[in-house]
Amino acid sequence: MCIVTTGHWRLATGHLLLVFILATDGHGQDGDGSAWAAAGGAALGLYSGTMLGVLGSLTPCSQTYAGAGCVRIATVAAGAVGLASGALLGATDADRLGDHAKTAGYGVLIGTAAGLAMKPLIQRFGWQDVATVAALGGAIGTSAKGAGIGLAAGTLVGLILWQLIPGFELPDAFATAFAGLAVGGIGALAIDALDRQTSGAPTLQFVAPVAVRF
Amino acid sequence: MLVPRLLATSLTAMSVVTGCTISHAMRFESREETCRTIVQPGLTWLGPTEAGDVATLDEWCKTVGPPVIDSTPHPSFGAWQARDSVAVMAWNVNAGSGELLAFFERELHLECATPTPTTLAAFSHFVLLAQEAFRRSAAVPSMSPRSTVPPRTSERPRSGPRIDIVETARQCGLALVYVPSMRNGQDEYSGEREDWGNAILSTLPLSDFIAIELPFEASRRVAVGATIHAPDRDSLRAISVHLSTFPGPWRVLRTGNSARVRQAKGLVEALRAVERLRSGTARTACDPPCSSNRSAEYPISTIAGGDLNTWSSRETTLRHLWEHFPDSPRNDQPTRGPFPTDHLVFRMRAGNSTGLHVVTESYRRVDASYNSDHQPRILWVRAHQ
Repeated sequence: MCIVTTGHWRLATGHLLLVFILATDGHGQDGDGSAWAAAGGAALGLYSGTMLGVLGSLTPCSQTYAGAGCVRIATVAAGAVGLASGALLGATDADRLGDHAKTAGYGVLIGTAAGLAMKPLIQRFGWQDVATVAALGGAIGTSAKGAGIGLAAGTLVGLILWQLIPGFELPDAFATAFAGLAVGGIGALAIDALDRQTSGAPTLQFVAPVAVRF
Repeated sequence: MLVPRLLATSLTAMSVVTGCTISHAMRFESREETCRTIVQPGLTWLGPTEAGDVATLDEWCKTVGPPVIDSTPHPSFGAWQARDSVAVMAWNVNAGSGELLAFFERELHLECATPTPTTLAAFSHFVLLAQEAFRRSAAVPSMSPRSTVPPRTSERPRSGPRIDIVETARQCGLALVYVPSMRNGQDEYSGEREDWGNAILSTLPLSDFIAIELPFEASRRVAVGATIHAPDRDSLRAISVHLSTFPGPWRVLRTGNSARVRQAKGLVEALRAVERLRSGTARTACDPPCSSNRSAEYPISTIAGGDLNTWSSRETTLRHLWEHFPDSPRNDQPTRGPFPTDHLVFRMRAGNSTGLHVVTESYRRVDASYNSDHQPRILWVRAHQ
């Protein structure tokens, strides 16, 4: 199901603000995780993973028959990884989660500035577009270093393949770069969470309902 | 309680933000706005059913002039004979940039300056599917600065005179159907104003005109169609189409970058609805999923072409179009910078394997751009295998 009325960007923005409020709350703890920090981390991870999932899958998926369906799958998968990573990080190290929230905030500011700069230059670039660029900035900022490394690696690989493989077109190079950014950003958050988890912090356990028959 | 509630609402937000599928359903239009005024019988209008599309398209529609139809070419071109090859081309002329007269002269050997236009090329006739063709006329309404008038299209400097599509057709003796999509800026030129859109120019008579307002994405786009009569009572429907580039980031994220896909699906749905109307099994709208029954829905061979704004030859938009135009030739050569933006797609009439067909090896890119920012594509259609 998909709701498409024009008011939903406000809802999304509301969730975005909630993310930062909760993440800041988590930062108020003294290094150890808490339920509040886990919730904030989950929300931050979900937001970042979702936005990076869309951004990273747009170009690769535009080369497939499925198109938007492919984007949806990639987005949900990335959002789920982000959610789990954020929750794990919040549960284990609220300080570290606070660092991610802080860089996300910087990302929103930079994104807002970029969106405002674009508005007079691009035809029919509305306030919703400014908000979208700001939200993308926040998502990238959540794991800015990982996203930057991913973008650089993706761009390099894309350009090399573009030169070497005849059927690898310029859009494929763009796709590789954006996918690199998304994988780098989401991966950095996941690695950070796993690092904290393996360093003696509390463990989150999930029960998988799987039955094996012989 | 807060944590599960937060996660649930966040997941809802996630599904709202991304990858939404907005309807591309189409219907016949009967409302009469300035740009929809039927200037002569035989023009069928179709448009999207989505309420948001309709409202926005109406605003854009008010700013342009009426369509232009001149169905009869100069008699010296003659009729389509059984052994003739017809060249079909798709070219985005970039408003006043593209040098159409030079293109006709060098590529098609049509000398428009002579009183009686004659073609001297290997093929006997041609049909040009033009995009971004401009028209200057007093019939283009004067608008207030607040209205939906996009800025004037940037053009490259050119050496010869800047002639609009109506005057080009008149000078060259070509049949013409032109349907404007949007205004070409607010400027006035001695009481005249400009709009631009899609056109079909032909050395063969045109009939059975169709205007298809595509689902609104970044700007208003109207595909234009006409029928050309081939030998042995066969016919070829030609469609000139121009899909959107990119809408804003918000819409790109919200729809999963499906702007052009939606327009392409809208085009296909509209063509199906037209075929049903012509075959007497019409419905007022074609709500997807429509049957893809080839024999029932495609009683006429159809060629569609134009600027699809595709980045690559594997883009979702093209894959969907090829599905509905299964007899399309393929060519990956770029036509705008490094990108293969322009294409021609073809669907043979059902149950007629020996009828109209595309000469596959003739499908190519014209190497010169004639001052436009796009290079034309060309292929040949023949009446018999």
